[in-house]
Amino acid sequence: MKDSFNPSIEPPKKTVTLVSSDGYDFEVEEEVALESQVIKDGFEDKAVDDREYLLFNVHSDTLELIIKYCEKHVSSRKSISAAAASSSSSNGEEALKEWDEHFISVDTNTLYDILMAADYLNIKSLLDLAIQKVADTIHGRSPEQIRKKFNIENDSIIDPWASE
Amino acid sequence: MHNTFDDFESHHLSDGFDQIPDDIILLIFNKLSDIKSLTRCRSVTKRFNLLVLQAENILVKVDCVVSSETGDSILLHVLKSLLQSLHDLISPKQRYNSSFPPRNQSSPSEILRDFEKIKRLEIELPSGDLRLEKGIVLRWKAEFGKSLETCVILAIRSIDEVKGEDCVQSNGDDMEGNSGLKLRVVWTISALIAASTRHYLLREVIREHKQIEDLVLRDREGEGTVVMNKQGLGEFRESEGEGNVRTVGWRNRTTVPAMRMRMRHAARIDLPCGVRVTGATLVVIKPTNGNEVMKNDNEEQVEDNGMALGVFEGVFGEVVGALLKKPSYLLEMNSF
Repeated sequence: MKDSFNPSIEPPKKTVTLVSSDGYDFEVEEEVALESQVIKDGFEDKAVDDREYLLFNVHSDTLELIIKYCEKHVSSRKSISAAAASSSSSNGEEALKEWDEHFISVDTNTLYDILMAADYLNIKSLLDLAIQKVADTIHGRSPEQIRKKFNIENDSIIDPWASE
Repeated sequence: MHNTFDDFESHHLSDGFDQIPDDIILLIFNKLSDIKSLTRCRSVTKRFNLLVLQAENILVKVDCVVSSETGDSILLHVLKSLLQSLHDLISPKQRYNSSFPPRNQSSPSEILRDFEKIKRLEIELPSGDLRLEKGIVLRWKAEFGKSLETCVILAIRSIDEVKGEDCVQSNGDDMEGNSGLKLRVVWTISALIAASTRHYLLREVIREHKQIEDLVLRDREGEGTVVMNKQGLGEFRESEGEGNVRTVGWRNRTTVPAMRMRMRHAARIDLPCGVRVTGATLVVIKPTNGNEVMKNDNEEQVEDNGMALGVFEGVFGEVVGALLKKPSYLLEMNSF
């Protein structure tokens, strides 16, 4: 309380600890963690020194990517709104879209992991991005190509497209 | 060695897809929405087949090239392109006929039959229905319930980019006069016929898919769009069997009710973006309900303008904005 009334003291960056399913700690800034709706819900009710989240379903490899995505989006949002405030033109939105496109161009396994983690953590923009990527991959492919691409075993009885 | 690695890899990955819960896969299918892709997905796995049929968002793209022979009347073209569309909806499937029992697929509703959860359906025809002179742009958007509720039509005789000094005033060439008005009325009627024919085309789909809340029928050229929202669809389903169909020759369409049209015209508009349009006409159409309390003209005008705004995008939206500043005149039309 006293701190907030003293302008000479810069408030320390508040952080949150995320623990991956394989036991690694990731310390991230609060606003980055709050990109996850699951963390955001009920965040205020948690004691400040208890802001540690064990993410049972997210492996450290995936968590690293998720954090990278959230950090990028938090910082881009800031620079976009800063550019808007100073009414200087910026292609921030475009650049972010390109970044997203690059970010989600990953192998199928990683894509599944991101998809699952985005769903589990309820990060809507990331879930949308991953879903769009899978949909784009399916689009225009034959069933056989889809199976191959996603390594899905064929258990279909009827398969009129098999000869394709 | 090589084989072992491959086996391991594929086993590992197939676990990957299996772990994705149904609701996420359904989200993927809803995003995909394209009926051809979805239909292909049905034979990927049993699980895919079950889930695909739960899809709520569906887009049906009808492929075909409509041949445009000269000398045909507009009506014939409407008819032809619709028949062609229907034909082409089924023809991509024909090469699979050897493995599928031949089904008499004759309309979009046949293709959509197995999809029982559709909430939002969009059908895209390959081209517009009206074959107008070269250079003429016609755009219409009609909202339907059991019959036409509103329609906004924009017609432009020509659209050009203006280069700097080209802005010579040439106001004299407005050879519109009476024949111009006649032409505009013909365009309007053509658009209304096209709209009500498309609406008729949808009736079977609406009847069979009672969960649809949002229905759009448009074409790839962006000429005409039929929209039905939840309320309109409800109204349509309630009115089934009221015999609201008009048959002309051997072609069916929904009857166009008696209408009031507010028409605006400008011989020339120079838009700030450096585009010049000539012969621009905006028509806002509403049915005249006999028992409706007469509103004063001002209120009507405000309401009509509100309807026209936001219907078209980009340059066409700007043209509408400019036309709304012009004086309007009202025409009445009987049901046909």
